[in-house]
Parts: sequence; C-alpha cells; structure tokens
Amino acid sequence: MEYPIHFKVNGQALYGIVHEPEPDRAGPLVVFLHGWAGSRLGPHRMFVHMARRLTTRGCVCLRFDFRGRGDSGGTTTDASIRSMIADATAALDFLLPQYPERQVILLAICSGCKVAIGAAATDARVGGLALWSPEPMGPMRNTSSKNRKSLDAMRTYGRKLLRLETWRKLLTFRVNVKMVKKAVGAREVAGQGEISDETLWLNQLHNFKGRMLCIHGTNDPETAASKAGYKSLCSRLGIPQEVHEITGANHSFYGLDWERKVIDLTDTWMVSM
Amino acid sequence: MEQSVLIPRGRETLSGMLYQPDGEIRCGMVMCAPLFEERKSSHRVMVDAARTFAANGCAVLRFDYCGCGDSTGDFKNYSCPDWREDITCAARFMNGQTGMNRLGLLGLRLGASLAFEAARMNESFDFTVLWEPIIHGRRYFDYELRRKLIREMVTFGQSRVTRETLLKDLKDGQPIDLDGYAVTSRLFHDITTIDLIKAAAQGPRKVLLVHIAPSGAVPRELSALKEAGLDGGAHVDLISTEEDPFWNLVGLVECPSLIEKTKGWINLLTSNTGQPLNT
Repeated sequence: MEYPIHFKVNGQALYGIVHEPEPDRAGPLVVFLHGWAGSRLGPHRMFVHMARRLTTRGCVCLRFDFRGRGDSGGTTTDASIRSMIADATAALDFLLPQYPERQVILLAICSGCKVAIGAAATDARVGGLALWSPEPMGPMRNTSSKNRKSLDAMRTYGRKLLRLETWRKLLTFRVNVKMVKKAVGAREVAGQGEISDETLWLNQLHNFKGRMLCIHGTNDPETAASKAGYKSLCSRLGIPQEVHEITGANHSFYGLDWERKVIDLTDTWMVSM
Repeated sequence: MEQSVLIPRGRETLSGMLYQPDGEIRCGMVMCAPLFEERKSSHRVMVDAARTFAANGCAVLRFDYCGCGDSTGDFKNYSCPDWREDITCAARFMNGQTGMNRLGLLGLRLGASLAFEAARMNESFDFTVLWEPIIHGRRYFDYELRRKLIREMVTFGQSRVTRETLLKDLKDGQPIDLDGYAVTSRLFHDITTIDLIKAAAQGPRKVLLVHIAPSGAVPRELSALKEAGLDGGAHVDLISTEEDPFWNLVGLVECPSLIEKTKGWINLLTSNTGQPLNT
C-alpha cells in the first residue's frame, strides 16, 4: 500500500509517500534521501522502483522531498546539506514511532549521501547506509568535484550545439568563449564551511554502528576518489562495507540495465540486513 | 492550502497535489507535466507556478500520469491516449473537490501537447495554456535520440548504438532505453504522430502559447500554430518570456517572468466577464 504523508520542520510542510508491506511482514524502515536538485522520485524514478521492490521484501519505505525541493515548502535557495540533515532526522521522528521495532536504513543518492552520513553521524537510530554514487566529502574532495561539474557543463554545451540559435551565435561571434572555457575548465572551490562541516560529520561517524553499501558507476568521474575515500573511512572506523561498481554507468545510472543492477544489488544487501 | 491527493483511475491511482486559494475561487486549472527527465527538471517551477496561481484565486491540481512520478503503474504499459484520459480523470476529480465546473489546462512540453489534445477532445475545458509545446512529435523524438547519442559520446567517447539501430528496434516492436525510461513502439508511434498545427483547426478555443527561451525570435512553428488556431476561429495569444529552458537543466532555476505573464493572461481572461470562463 502507498499513501501520501506530510510532516513539518520549522513550520514548513515536507511531503512524501509511505510504502507499506503486507501486514506482519518484517523488514527495515528505509528512508530515501534524494540528490541536491532532485526529488523523492530519484533520477528516472528509480526511488519509486526501489521502494516498490523493497516493500515486497517486507520493508517500510518513506520517500520525501527536502525543504525547498519537490512538493515541499521552503525556498530553493534556503536549502543546505545542514537543513537536509534536519529534514532527514525529522522524517525519522515522524515515522519511526509507528514502527519502533524496525531497523532504520538511509538510502541516498549523490548529495543525499552527504545528508545520510551527517544524519548517521549524529543519530544513533540509523542502522545502515545504502549510498548510490556517494560524493567525496571533506578531505576526500580533490579534483573529482571539478571533473563532474566540467562534465555537466560539457553536457549543457553539447545540448546547446543542437540548437539553431547556438549556431547563429557561433557564426556571428556572439558566443562568450571566456565563459564557456571557465564553465568547462574552471576549478570548483568548495566553501571552507562546507568542507569543515563534512569533515566534522565524517569524524563523528565513529558513533555509527551499522553497515554501509556503496554503489558507483565506472563512468562517474567521482568514482575513483569516492571509492578510495569511503573505503579508507570504513576501514579506519571499522564499518563493515560492501562496494560495487556498475560497469559503464554514469553518475545517476541513466540506463535501464544500470538501474536494474543498482536495484538488484541494493535489494540483496537489504535482505542480508 | 496545499494537500496531497490520490485520484482513483481504474485499477491505477494517480498521485497529485491540490492547491486551493484561501478566499474565493475564480477559476480552476489542471497542470500537465512533461515526460521523462523533463518532469524532474521542471518540477519546482511547476510547484512555484501552482502556488502563485492559487494565491491569485485559481485552484490548481498537479498530478502524475499512470506509470509516471508517484502514480501507480509501469511506464512501459502506458502511452499518450492513456495520459490524455488521465487529464480528463484529474479534471473530474478537481471538479468534485472544488465545485468548479469550468476548468483550464496548463501543460509544459509534451504535457502541453497532451493538454492540447485533451482540450480538443473535451470542449468543457475553458482555456488552455501551452508552455513551449511539442508541436511536431517526430522532430522532438529525433532531438531526443540525438541527445541520447551525444550523451553516450560524452560518457563513453563514442555512441554505443546508432539512430538507425534504435529506430529499427522500435519498428520491430522492441522498446528502447531513453535515459532509463523504456520507450515502447506504441509510445514512439503516439509521440511521433503528434502534429498540433494539423489538429489546430479543431483545437481548443482559448489558448495561450508561451515561447520560453533566453533569447531569439519566436520559432516559426509556434507562430504557425497560432495562425492555424486563429484560422480555426479560436482565440489564441502568443507571448515570449526570456528564461532558460528549465525542463532541460540539471540545477534549479526560478521563472518569475513566465509565471507572472501567465497569471496576467488568466487574470485578464477571468476579469473580462467577472464570470467563470466560457460563459
């Protein structure tokens, strides 16, 4: 059964969907955390597909929109990883009393993984982390973020090349070459506050007593730094970690086969919980 | 007031959000989202628009088609005629919830094309707002295929398939993978046969066409759609708004000009008579 819910944080409504299994089915409570500019659907609706699969395994699932995202209240610009962590904690406060016996797993993608780490570091209720394309955090950050932003910029300019207007501009020398070069090649500099927040959460993760699943795409420019960073982190903190790479997949697993593999791997890991 | 709603639709359930004005309801509107990842990229702009219109006295229902968004169903089992029916079903639901008999439709991209068709087939819709509609389905699909191939070139250094292979698969009844969505032969056929200009003679009666682009002139085909509508005796307005194609962007943007201009047009339409539209 699926039904809409809402809960409030600082007076603002957050909207979501609860997926409930058949009565008397045991399984974890899985809370989905979407990416920075995403929504509770996940890319190409893969959160919906994952939640429906997990419900058949007895899991209770909650997909919700962070404040300033999707259907939820709040403004786009006020959202931050910190506010998203507060939202994730509020989601647990809202739903867990109805299912107190269930283990809590946070399932996240992209920037949502930072939210999951931040929540797991500060909330002892979290018993597992399933991270899809986790981004490097704190000291793990090096050139990987720059690589992905450049790739995004290249994609945008690739799309623009399909437009007649772009060619008109190119032929009449109205393209701002400096800006294009800057967008594709410039180094993204993370704010110092952002990096120190992330470093703090990583250091606090020693409080986390659960297990971690990481799934990466081999064509995600961040995979190398991220894979090494989280492996080192789990090894240092003694967190049991399972890592998978999906051959050929990009950052958001934009392909039916890649999505199926991510869902199968997560399903198997979840059953083992 | 905003609330999540569930709309029964045969064996499926459509998921939606209803935005009701605090005061008197001057008109009602059903919003028709685009498909594929354009739905994701445009989500927040559609929410902003719904809130703005509701604050202006227009009750708004946003919803997901069968097999899309939060609604039940598998994407590959549905196509354009089903989604047009979903629009009618959502409108009936809204009528029951708000008591508004006369409603308008607002659609974006393929959602606009679906709204156009739904309004063409059901004259009870009072007005139709088309944000950057897909006028020729075939051209749209060719563009999407080119985009897929370019994306593969960026990711892999080369395309893994050719345009011809993809089209052959569709012709042979095999679904193809478009950004993680299974496009069936049926959907391919239904999209590529969209031709709004051809259909405009018997099209909706009160229409706002909106061209959304950071710069440049109104595309010829949008002007042609306006002319075709006028020739058919419809009231058609065509406006431009200088904003980014938000349905294609990775990040979040705001489109105040688009929303304000649309709100202004609806205001004008509703205030002319002081009565519900179409009276």
